[in-house]
Amino acid sequence: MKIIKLYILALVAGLLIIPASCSKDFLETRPTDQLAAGDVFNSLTGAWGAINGVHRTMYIQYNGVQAHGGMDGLLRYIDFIGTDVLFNTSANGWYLNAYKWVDHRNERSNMVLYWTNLYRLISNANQIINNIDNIAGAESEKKHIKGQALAYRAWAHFMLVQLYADRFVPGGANTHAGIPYMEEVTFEGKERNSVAEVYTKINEDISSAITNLEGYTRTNKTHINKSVALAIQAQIALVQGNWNLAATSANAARQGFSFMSTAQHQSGYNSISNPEFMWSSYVQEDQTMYFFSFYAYMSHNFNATAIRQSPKSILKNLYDQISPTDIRKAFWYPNAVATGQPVVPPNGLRYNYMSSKFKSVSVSDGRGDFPWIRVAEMYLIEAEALARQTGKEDLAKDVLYLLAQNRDPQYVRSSKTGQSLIDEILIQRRVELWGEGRNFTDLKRLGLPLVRPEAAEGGEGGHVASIAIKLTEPAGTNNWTWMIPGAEIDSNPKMVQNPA
Amino acid sequence: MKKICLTIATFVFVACHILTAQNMKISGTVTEVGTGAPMPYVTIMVKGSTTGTTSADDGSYTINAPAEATLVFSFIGYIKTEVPVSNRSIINAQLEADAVALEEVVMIAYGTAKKSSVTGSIASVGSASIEKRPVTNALAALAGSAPGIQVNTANGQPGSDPGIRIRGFGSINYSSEPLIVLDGSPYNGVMANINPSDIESISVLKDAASTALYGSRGSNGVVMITTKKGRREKLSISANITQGFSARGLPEYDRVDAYDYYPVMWESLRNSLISSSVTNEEASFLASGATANGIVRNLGYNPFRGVANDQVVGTDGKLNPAATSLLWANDLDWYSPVERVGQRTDAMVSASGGTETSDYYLSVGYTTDNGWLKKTNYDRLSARANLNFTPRKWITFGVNLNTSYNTSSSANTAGNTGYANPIYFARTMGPIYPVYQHNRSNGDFLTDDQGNRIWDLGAQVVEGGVTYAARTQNNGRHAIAEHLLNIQDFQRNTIQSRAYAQISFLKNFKFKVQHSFDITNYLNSSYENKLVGDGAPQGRSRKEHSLRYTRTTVQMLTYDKIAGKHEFNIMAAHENYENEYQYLYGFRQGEIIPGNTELINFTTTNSLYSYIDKHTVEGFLSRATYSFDNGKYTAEGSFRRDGSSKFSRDVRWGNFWSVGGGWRIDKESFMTGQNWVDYLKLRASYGLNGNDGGISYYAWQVLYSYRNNAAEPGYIQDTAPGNPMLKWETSAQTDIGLEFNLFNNKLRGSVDWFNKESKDLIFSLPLAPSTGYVSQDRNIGAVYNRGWELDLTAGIVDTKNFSFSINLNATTYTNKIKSLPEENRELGIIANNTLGLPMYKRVEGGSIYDYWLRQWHSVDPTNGNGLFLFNDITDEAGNYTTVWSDADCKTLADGTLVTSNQAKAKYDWSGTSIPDVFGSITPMFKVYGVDISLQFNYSIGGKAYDYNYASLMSTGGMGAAKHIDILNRWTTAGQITNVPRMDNAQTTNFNAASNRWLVSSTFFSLRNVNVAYNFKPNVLKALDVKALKIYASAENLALFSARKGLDPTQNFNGNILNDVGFNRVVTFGINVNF
Repeated sequence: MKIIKLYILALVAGLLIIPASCSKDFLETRPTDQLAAGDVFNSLTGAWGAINGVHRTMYIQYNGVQAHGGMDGLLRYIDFIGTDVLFNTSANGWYLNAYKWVDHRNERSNMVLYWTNLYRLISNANQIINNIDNIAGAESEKKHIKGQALAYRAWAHFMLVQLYADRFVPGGANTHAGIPYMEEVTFEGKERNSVAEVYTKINEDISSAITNLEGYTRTNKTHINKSVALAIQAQIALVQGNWNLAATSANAARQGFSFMSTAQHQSGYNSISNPEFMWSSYVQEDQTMYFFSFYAYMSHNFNATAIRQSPKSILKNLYDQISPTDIRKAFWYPNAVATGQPVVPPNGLRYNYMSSKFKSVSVSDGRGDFPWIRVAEMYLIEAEALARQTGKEDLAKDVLYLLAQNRDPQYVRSSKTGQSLIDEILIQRRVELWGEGRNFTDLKRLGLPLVRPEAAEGGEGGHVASIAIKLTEPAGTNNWTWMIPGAEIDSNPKMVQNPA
Repeated sequence: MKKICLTIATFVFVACHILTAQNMKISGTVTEVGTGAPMPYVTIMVKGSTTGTTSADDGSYTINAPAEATLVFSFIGYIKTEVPVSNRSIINAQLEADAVALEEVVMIAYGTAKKSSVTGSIASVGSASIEKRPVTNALAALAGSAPGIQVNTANGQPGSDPGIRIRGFGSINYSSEPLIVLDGSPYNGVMANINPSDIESISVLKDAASTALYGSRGSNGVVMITTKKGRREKLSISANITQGFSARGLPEYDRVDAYDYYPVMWESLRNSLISSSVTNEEASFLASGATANGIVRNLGYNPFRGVANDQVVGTDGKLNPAATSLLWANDLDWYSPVERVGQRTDAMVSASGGTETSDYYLSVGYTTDNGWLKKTNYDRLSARANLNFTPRKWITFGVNLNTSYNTSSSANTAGNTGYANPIYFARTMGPIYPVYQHNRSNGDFLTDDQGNRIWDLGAQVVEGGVTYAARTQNNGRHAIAEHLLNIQDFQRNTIQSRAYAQISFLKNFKFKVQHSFDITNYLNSSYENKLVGDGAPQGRSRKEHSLRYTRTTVQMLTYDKIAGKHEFNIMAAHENYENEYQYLYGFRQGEIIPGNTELINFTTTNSLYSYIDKHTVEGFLSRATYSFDNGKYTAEGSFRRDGSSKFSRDVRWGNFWSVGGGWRIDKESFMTGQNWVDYLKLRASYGLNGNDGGISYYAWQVLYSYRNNAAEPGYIQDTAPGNPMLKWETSAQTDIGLEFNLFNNKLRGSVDWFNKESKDLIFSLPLAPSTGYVSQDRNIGAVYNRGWELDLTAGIVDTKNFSFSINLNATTYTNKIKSLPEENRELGIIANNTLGLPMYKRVEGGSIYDYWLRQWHSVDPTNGNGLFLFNDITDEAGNYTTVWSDADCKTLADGTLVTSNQAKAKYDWSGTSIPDVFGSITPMFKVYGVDISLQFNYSIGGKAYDYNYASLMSTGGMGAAKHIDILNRWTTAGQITNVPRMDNAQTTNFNAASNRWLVSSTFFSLRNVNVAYNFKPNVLKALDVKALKIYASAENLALFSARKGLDPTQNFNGNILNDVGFNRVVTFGINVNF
């Protein structure tokens, strides 16, 4: 009897235990929405994924901050702290403290966190640059991947040094503090390189990128090919006052790109198919950035609160310098309120001189492919760089004519010389690149003061003192340099903050 | 003979007298204190005799006893009660459950234990206390229930989980939420899935001895929920129905009205216009005028009847005296379209009982709980079956099955100042803007074709050739309309099952297997309308679907042996835990047919993805308890070895353990004769456990995330790289407690001292952003929570018709950071608040929530500037690191350096959000059979950061509402005030985040009132029921805080945000037992 009972007990116990026994890898789990770093750099396919990821970092939302929609968010800031984009109201708070020149001087503001975003891009590029040589595969393909990564590294450092360091003085020693030039993947923060050192490395990288990208045919314009790398080189050279290089690179870069038609001109600067876009994002339906998108702040048609409440206008002083026959003049509506134009989202407000240059895909779709570099800029760089070289003014006028005549059929080849010619080119530059994020960096590179004219009594098209607060800033003050984020100062003992 | 007769007569007389006295017949009913339920099988003895009887099923009894005798009523687990007969023939007695009945069984980790042998600190809340509270989420009933437990007020969203902290904050960057264990297995669901009426008890395990067996998940404390179980007796049916009403419990801040508003905003505008080129007078003229700069143009709406736009505020800053009536006075309350008296209904039927070999508890319950804010509600249908069988003495098995169907709609309060947040919107809307559209000249409501009022989105309108400007505040938005037109709903279906089998063998051994399987299906549907808001003009819809499976299997072997005075309990077990989460998200826009919010009815896909996450834990655990002389001395030890999938193979196994001891001092011989001591126990414990709550499932892995570029596959590396060396946070806790019952159990209570030292804290170590990374999780840092807990219950008066007792509990603790990462030691870590803004600074020696803010100083009496202390930090050369400029900095007469520029303000310590002491006071009365209990909660000390107030005190913000304190603003030179001048151009400075917005978080609240009456047996007999109770209960009746509108318990970190304030709920209920 007793034995039978024991059997029963054993049977019951066995039944109880069986369902609980578990396999050896019970504690090994892995995510399904991410992949291990080791799986990225073990094939060319993985490496292509990594460089594609870098392209994508140009248009992801950063830090969970609404104002950090991609690198276009950074370019927006650059215009908002310039002279040519007007805020018409304080009723909408978006970017208002940037406009007032508060945020870029506050180490705890979100604005200065673009530092983090740019370095994030650099780190992703460094992973590629430092790992690609160990991957098996065609050398040419590896070069094309690496070349793009190098171009990104140059571009991101170039943006950083322009904003977070004092101005690069062409011809000067530029031994003042720049930014850390990051070439390795590390957890340790580095000290700041001097501005001169940073530019040396930027130039090395972009040159190397251009070499590596020889023969690369890209699948779409989100990628960096040799033309784009040359365009970046031209931008860098322009800031450094490296006029010859700027002119030749810009010239080389613009080859093969044509101007947009008048119809394309009015289509909203939002499509990668625009022939002037040399390098741009290409935002798919399911990659929308909603209210973080560039077009949620700078378009006139998207149903974003910032668009409805605070459409942006052009500075009247600049607008008045545009010839009436210039097709660009139609972007802005000096009498928007009275004429009820341009189209605005339901319940949207209009302010005079408001812009219609940028359009989102639709009133309910905030997407748009933002151009990181447009070919028009290459003409402007080339013209400016030529105009600043002795004996090349005629060449400058020729290049300027190509662009200006395209925009204004009535345009007459410039007869100006010297500084007047340069000024004309710079006005063209302000008009052409309005809203595309070149305003503040141009003022800074040229060592110009910030001058934000107010409108005449009761008029519009000027900055409003109670909204802008900051109306003037002399050139060369500390205020031209963005504060390094507190997060960097806190966690990098080698970092020195910019003077208050 | 005569003498003899007399003697006999006397004898007979006396004898008769005596006989009558001896034979007095007494009857009555015995009921339970609190529930009023009749108690069968109660022993009733005549004191000092052997005469006795027991009560019948209905609690009734009859006994013969002398008129001057005393009856003794006793029943196991209840306090023995003596009642003098005093010539009464009917004696109804009530027995009260003995709080420290020796054989009382309490829930402990992986089992139960006799209260006398418990060496840890466990607070228990029984079903009687839970039933008093009209709450949909049982965790809300923990507030104030016991010391050492901090519970936030659940917000006005019915069913929401309140935050809970047990003995402080054991983690800085990860979860400090306790582990929830439901019927013996870790529970990942929401507590609102469980009907509170099904809960038998909630035990809160506070110290390491109680929680060490939960190993890597136990260090924040454990909340153990035990559901009801049948008794092995006759069938009992209980039916309960309550009907209640909920209304807004938290009042609104006091805000200025239209008449005060206009002059205040005029001033703000006027002062902002003054500049080097515009004089004071010119500015006044501009501000009063109807030009682009006029105040009416700046606010958009002129609500005053018969007052022209350029006449509203004079150049003297005064409201036009003709402005005496408003065009839409009846339409300025933005809460009114969404405020209501919500209904709350709770109905429940349960059946329980059993036989010698089985027991059962079956219930079905329905709850619908509607908050004060329209469209906030929670509906639950739940059913439970708890069945246990013992077919043979050596085997027991059972299953406890619960299923629930939950639906809820809620308000969009995501983002403190999100345009769609109805609370933010209603609170900050200037008092001049109507909710609905009006004729702007005569004030009449405008209506649509159907005669309905039209939401006023604030657009610019042209009426009769006159252009009326747009509403300045939130133009084009209408969160009230959006709240009503949008949908934010979820459905949740859950099953929780617990099945076990236990066999006994070899006399002292038991082997048990418990398998738990929880399923949660969740579908969140949200829709944003086409008319107004983020979804306009196309409409958009989201679906979020998740499945969660949690499986836990425990095999447990126990050995129980009593040898004379020695008692041993030994347990060893193995546990597997598996938690799988499947998630699917779809988001489309472009509504095709109105009214259909399913994704197929939309044209464009904004987002579509899915993933599966998995977390597994394996543990080996054991416990040994030794008790001598019926609990006089108890020693206990426990050990658990845990492995977790969150950590890498090399470091994923860890050991956790505890030791504890108990000493029943009252059982010592030297205590004999100390009659005033009924119970006295000293206990002490020490142990080690862990915390992995909130840590990513894949925290150790270095990962890339999918980010396709255009249509090409792409990956981006995470900014927080995984750390293969990462392991859980551990905490070592010491607890010393004294439990006592004194003066005939009239005074009961406990005092505990605890010291919870957490180390290896996982710090999301900030990495220099220039590396491309933002942070990495590392085990660095230590914090301790050290403090006292006091729990006292005193029976003050106890007479036949009136009794009064009171419970008081208090907790005080210190939260202190012991060590920080090396890199942060010197400067500390600036930590962000809920909104992602820097607010706290963490340094060694400080607490987790020490405010680090700009230092507000005063208002400059000469010009009304807001002044902060100047940042006087100097560099090595002794120069200020902040640029001093006479334009915005000055030295006050007393030498204080101040600045009106927020960017130059000094940051300093500004107090903490952690209170000095908190707890509750619970008086209980019994008056002629009516039970009344009240619960007051209190908290003293600590500060809250009142964002709402700060926003209402802005010196600008055209169109935004203002707090009445703004009326104290600076207006004239020499004026002493603490509110700076109104100035729309100075909001960045005057309104900067600073210690000015801190407010005391001390509060006193009347959390609950419960009044109950149990009908007398004669009524019950007539109705043929076992017990009948009617009751009324009210929750959140009153809150006294430093500022009207302020609920300091909103967040542990002290942030006061635009959330749906709590409901005040009043319910009436009836409970009948058959």
